[in-house]
Amino acid sequence: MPVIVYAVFDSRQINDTLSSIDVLPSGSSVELEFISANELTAIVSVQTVNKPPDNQQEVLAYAGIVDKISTKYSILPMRYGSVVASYTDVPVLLEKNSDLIRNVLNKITNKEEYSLRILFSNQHHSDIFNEECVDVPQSLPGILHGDTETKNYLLKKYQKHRAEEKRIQYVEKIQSFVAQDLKKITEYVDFNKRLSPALIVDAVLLVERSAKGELLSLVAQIQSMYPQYNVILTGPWPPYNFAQIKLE
Amino acid sequence: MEDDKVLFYAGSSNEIIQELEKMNSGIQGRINATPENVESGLAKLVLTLVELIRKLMEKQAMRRIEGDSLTEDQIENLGETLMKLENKMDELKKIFNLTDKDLNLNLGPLGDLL
Repeated sequence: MPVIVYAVFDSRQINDTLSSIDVLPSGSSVELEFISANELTAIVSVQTVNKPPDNQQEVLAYAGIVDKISTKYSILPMRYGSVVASYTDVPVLLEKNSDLIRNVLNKITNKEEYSLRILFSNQHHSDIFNEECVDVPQSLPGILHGDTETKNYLLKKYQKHRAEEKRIQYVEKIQSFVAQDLKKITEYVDFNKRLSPALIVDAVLLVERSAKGELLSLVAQIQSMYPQYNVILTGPWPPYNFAQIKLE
Repeated sequence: MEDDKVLFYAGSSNEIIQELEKMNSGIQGRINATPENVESGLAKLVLTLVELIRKLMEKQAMRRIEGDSLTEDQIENLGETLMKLENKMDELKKIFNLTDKDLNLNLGPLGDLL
């Protein structure tokens, strides 16, 4: 029977007895079990139904369990679809990858992941864009002066290009200020590529559990420094972004 | 997203929701080819790649304009080429009933292609 693996933790660091009731979201019908090897413990359950891999409810249920466990314990969260063929494969998996797993566990122990996003407000975004689209004629390259159809076409393209360049520079400047602030709290900060033009900062951070209050006041400080933007902090999340390993 | 996961936000919550939804809609923008729509799916893929190359050419042209390394003749040729290329792309988009928004692919953590 296939076995779903939710997370792995260091058996030595979690002394209290874990039970399914401890870590399961309320209403869950999953029966969690714990399999240990090499001082590592995997949290697993038996896969009873064969559902298509894109079943959103299944994904959410899986994520819910991992999330619930991670709020209490320092775990290496696994991703949806982490399934081994049988119970006996779990200790093999733990033993084969113990060094790799232990390295990541050392990094994430007693830490939680947060997501920080800073967004242009709609109004401010359009203000900046309009302001910077206007390029004074004197600053244009001489070669674009003239009144032909092709030059007018290139001129429009050039102005758009300059506006985009300025916008990127502006966003990068804010990103570097925010990065400096975040470094005061943690060395683990990753900036994601912006998925939307309205996003100025899209970062994930790994923060000591005890530093949550400090993080909140820092975020409030960032918001007061940039009142024209919307700052959003979410978490704590399982440390997915800081626990990316390829298990054998 | 569960409410208790939002620890701090300012401004309009609607605006934030709109932005997050926009980001999610990109994830659904992947090519979805089936036996019935494979032709338009293929056209979309090919035109997306052509559009990417066109945008790169445009970017390179802007760099050359900034570098002031073009003669009058070269600038006229460049402008005409880019203009014709853009017009041709518009024609092809109309033929295959595609919009600018369609000519994009979400590359997951790498963001949008265009």
